[in-house]
Amino acid sequence: MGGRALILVKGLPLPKHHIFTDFSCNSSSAKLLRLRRNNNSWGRRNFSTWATNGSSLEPPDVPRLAETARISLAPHEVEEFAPKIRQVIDWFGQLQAVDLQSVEPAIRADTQGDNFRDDVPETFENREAIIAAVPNYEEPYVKVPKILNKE
Amino acid sequence: MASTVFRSLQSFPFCLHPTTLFRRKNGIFYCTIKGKHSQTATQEKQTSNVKVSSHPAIKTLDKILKDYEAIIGIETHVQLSTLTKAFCNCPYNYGSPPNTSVCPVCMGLPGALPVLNSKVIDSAIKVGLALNCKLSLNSKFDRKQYFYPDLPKGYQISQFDIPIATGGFIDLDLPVEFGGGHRRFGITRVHMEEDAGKLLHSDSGSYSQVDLNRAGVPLLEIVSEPDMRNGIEAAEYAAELQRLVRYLGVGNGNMQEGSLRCDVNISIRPIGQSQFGTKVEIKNLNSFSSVSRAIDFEISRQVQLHSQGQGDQIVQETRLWEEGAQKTVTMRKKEGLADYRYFPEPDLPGVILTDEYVKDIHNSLPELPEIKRRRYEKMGLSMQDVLFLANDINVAKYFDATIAKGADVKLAANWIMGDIAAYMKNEKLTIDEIKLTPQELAELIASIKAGTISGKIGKEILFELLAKGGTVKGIIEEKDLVQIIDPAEIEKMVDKVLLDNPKQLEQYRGGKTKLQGYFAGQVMKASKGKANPGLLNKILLEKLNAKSS
Amino acid sequence: MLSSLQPPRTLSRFPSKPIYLFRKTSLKPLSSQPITNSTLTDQSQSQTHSQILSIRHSLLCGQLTATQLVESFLTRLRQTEPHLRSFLHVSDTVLRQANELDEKIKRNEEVGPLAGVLVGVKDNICTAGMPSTGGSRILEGYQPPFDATAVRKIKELGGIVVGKTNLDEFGMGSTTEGSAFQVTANPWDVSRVPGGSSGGSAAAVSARQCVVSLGSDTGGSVRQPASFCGVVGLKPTYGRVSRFGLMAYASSLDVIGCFGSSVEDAGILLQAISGHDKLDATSSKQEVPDFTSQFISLNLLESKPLKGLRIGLIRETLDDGVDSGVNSAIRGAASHLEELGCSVSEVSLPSFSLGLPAYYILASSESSSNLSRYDGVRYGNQVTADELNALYGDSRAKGFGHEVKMRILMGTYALSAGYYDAYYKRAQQVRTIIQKSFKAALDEHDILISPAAPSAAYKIGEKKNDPLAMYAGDIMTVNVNLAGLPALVLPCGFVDGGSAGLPVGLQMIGAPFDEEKLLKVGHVFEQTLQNCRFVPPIITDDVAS
Repeated sequence: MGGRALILVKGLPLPKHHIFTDFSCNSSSAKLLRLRRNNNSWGRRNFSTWATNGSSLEPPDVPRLAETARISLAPHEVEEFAPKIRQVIDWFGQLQAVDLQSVEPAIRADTQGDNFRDDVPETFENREAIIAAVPNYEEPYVKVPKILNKE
Repeated sequence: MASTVFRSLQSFPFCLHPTTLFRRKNGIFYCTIKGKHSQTATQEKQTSNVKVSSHPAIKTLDKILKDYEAIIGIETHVQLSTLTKAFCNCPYNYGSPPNTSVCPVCMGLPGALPVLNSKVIDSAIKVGLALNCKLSLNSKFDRKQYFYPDLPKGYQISQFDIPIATGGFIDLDLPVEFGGGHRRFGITRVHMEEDAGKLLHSDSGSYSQVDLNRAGVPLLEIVSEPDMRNGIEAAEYAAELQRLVRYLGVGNGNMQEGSLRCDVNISIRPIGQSQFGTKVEIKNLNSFSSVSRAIDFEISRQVQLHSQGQGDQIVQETRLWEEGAQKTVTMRKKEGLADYRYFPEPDLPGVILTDEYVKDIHNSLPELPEIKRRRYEKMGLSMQDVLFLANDINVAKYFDATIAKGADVKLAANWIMGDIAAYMKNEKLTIDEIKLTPQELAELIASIKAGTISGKIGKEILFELLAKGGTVKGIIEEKDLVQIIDPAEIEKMVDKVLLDNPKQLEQYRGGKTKLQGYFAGQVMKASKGKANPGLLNKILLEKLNAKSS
Repeated sequence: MLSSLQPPRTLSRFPSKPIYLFRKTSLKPLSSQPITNSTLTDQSQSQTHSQILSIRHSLLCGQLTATQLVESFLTRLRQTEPHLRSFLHVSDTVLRQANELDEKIKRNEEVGPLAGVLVGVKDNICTAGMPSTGGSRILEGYQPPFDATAVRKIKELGGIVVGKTNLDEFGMGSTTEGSAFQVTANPWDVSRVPGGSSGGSAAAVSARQCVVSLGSDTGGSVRQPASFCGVVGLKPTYGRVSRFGLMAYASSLDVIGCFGSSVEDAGILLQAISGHDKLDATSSKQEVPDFTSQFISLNLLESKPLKGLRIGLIRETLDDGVDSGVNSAIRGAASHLEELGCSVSEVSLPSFSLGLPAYYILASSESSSNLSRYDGVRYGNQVTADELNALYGDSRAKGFGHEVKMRILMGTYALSAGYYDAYYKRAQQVRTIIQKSFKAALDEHDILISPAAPSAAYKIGEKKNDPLAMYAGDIMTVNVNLAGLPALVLPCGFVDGGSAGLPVGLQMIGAPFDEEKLLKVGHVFEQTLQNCRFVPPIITDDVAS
């Protein structure tokens, strides 16, 4: 039953080499990509091969992502995750083939604006419980170990 | 009008202000060359750590600096003085015991959600309008993501691509002692965001302590165009922002407390080169003067490296200003751009402004410093006076109130800038705390002008009023201080004094004309200071020069 | 009054073998009658009652005390929990609260509309002083210092929170196998999943361990388990119910939803928790109508009570990928609606299939951000370290499960510099398209219908290794979240499986803030669905009398 559902999902045939109609070299997003990758030390792919081999953006660098997301992955986890993540990201890629020109992005379903607060102070009555939940609290501070590098 | 090189000679070479005036797109502003030998604030605060070079070296550096220009931009964070934080109802009071002003929202507890404080929008619009910006009628919030212990949610709610205000400018006047002159600097953007908590590092360095009282306090980030060219301009820009913030009442703009923070971006390039040099960021500037000095140091540092062919040693990095050593040092090198993974904040609806709302705020703005300065100028006051009076909103209010009561502009200015300022300094009071009211100051000025009392008496009354309050009329009456202007009465006193001092009279008549002062003093004493000096001297002189009788 | 329950139909197999799960207990089905998969024969059906109203009635006219009522539920809970594992925490103050209620009633004091009603709360919804783990080790032992707004409202109306129900960690998953603590079983067949992520809440209501429960729905997490467990699941419009206190998974998609054994109960619970909340800037100021005033009892319904109602059957949901049994059940439901006077036609929603990748991009991205706060510094479980980044890295590595880590990594990728336009922004644009297509369809139809899932409940462990296979099951539900629309799932039929069949739910989708219409139609549908009782075999005879 699950397999059948998969057919439904993979409605759009996943192209082996994604052709990004929106990513013509003149588009601003492509330029942005180029610029950012030049600055970014880990985006080492040669730009000239990017256009020719037709595959998508830089594949996920799982160790790097894990570092950014502050999750210490064991090597076996990296091995386990990488193909799955890649598979899902590739699947995400099917959106590239859709013509979305002149479609406005929607942040959420329409909410009316004007949900603001008044500038009236209120003390939270259960502060003790908040403090009690801190794993390493040395009155009156939250304690953390030394910091080597600020991001 | 030609552009001029503006430079002030200093005896400490690392504090030179080597600047070239620059034509700007929105107008051409130039400074006048000031006297070359006047002291600067920076010079006054020199510590002895700075190296002193011999003259030939100064001359060389001077020469080199002439060939370069500095491109300076400033990023300022203004802490808003709202009663509550940006996204929750926690109050914020500077100096509260750590971690006492917290709640699930600003602590980033699971399930907590931000709700925007409407006063933050009001403040942002006030500042945006005051900086002559274009307001974005439809702006939104974004999440700026990074991990740090003082950032509870692991992201900061900020505004990325659609800030609430863009494309403005600020007008200011450089202090007279630095050459004066009008400047206009561009403002790239103003946006709303939340502050992080405070992080304190232990002495041993093995751990740090987090205080989240400040997490969630609203900030406005103001980014300038890279229009400044030297430390003085930068310092004055910062000072003018502080002025604006205080005038608008949106914050207290206190650099020492951290409610006004400036980060400077600076690069240099040889004059004539169109390409910009490598940009260096400077942090840890806790006063306007350190802004100025840090920039000057950094300009020298970069220029020296570049001129020695070591321009590649100028790298894109963040440097800290060390107040003690009076120099900038590397804090961290920037490897590529930080990736904050910005995306639109889904928990907050967009900020939609109506024209009416903006208009209301516009109408509620007080007279801004720039307008005030121009108004004072038109009144005939000198630039020095203008800056003194306009730069502090409370002084300006006082001054305006005094002249509103009809006082003579120049006289009011003089009193405020002279005796009153001196008194405030001695007693360590602000102008709000002195007991002399603008009304009474006006009265005092009028009384002197009308001749009811002499200038000298006026001063005495002033001190009494400053210290104890009261009314001019009251004191005059109480102490019987009305000036004596009746010539007959004065004549009587003069006669008596001359009579009482025959010896001196003879000496005078013998040629010691200087003794006139002596007689005048005696008459004044006799009159208890009330004799009109002009009249006194006139009559005295007559009597003295009359034939002996 | 909870009537004694008979299995309504017969299936062709004897449920003879004991089912060994994590403990060696055998389940005794309710009766050992041979049951066939033929047409329903049991005519002595009373329609599905509102338990909440029955309870109120019994309490107020003294037929039952709250203590008795609550004790019977707790007994059943204790009996069934070893097999179901719906709850991560059961409150120890339930009887005390029941006693207090009895005192109140004795004193003739007013009691709220939820008085005596046991409510299960999904463990990603904060309950003050009660553990709230989000199904995750990183929050094991964490007790929030505040109640979620929805919980506070329930308490104010007299509801009793009986405990916290199991879920896929932080709402990420469709089977409840993603919980760090235990796997909940489907009351219809304990070798199968209850669905997810609100599996515990669905199972608890299905097995009558509590009367109603709260769940959360980001991509179908209330509706799919409702379908799998044969209960009513209600997903309100985005903004209808405050999200304050719901541990955020995907902020632009999350809603708190309701489970009940009847449409009316789900509606009453929705009434209790709806409304603008100043603590949630995305909550709507839209007026909340009285959902409960429109339920008409069966005997008062006219012959074609839904005459004039236009129903759109979403074509894309009845394609190849859907189980044939589900397909028949839905078509059967459509016929039933026609009998009630509706006009049912097929409607096509363009870009329907794009919703799934768009949803996962948005959900991963937002969740990667929402979960950054779980760093072990201010609350939760900390792995000590000498250096800050190691503390973060190790605490999160140890505290988060597999699926959560995956989603965070994918989300981090999708939001990285240079990728935002390619993924996140595009997904937002797809969201616009989907919103528009729903709007167009709902301009022509009052309600859209579809299955809630492509299949009935599958076996525990069946889907674990293939992420895309897992995600595929959400195809019926995610688009509704992208569009922020309200939806109601109610059981409409069965497919083969288990000892008494496996329930299939019908999903009804309405226009924004039109929960009223959904509830009305759902109620009529439910009341007129003859010969179909949705009570799982795990329920024993000794139900509270």
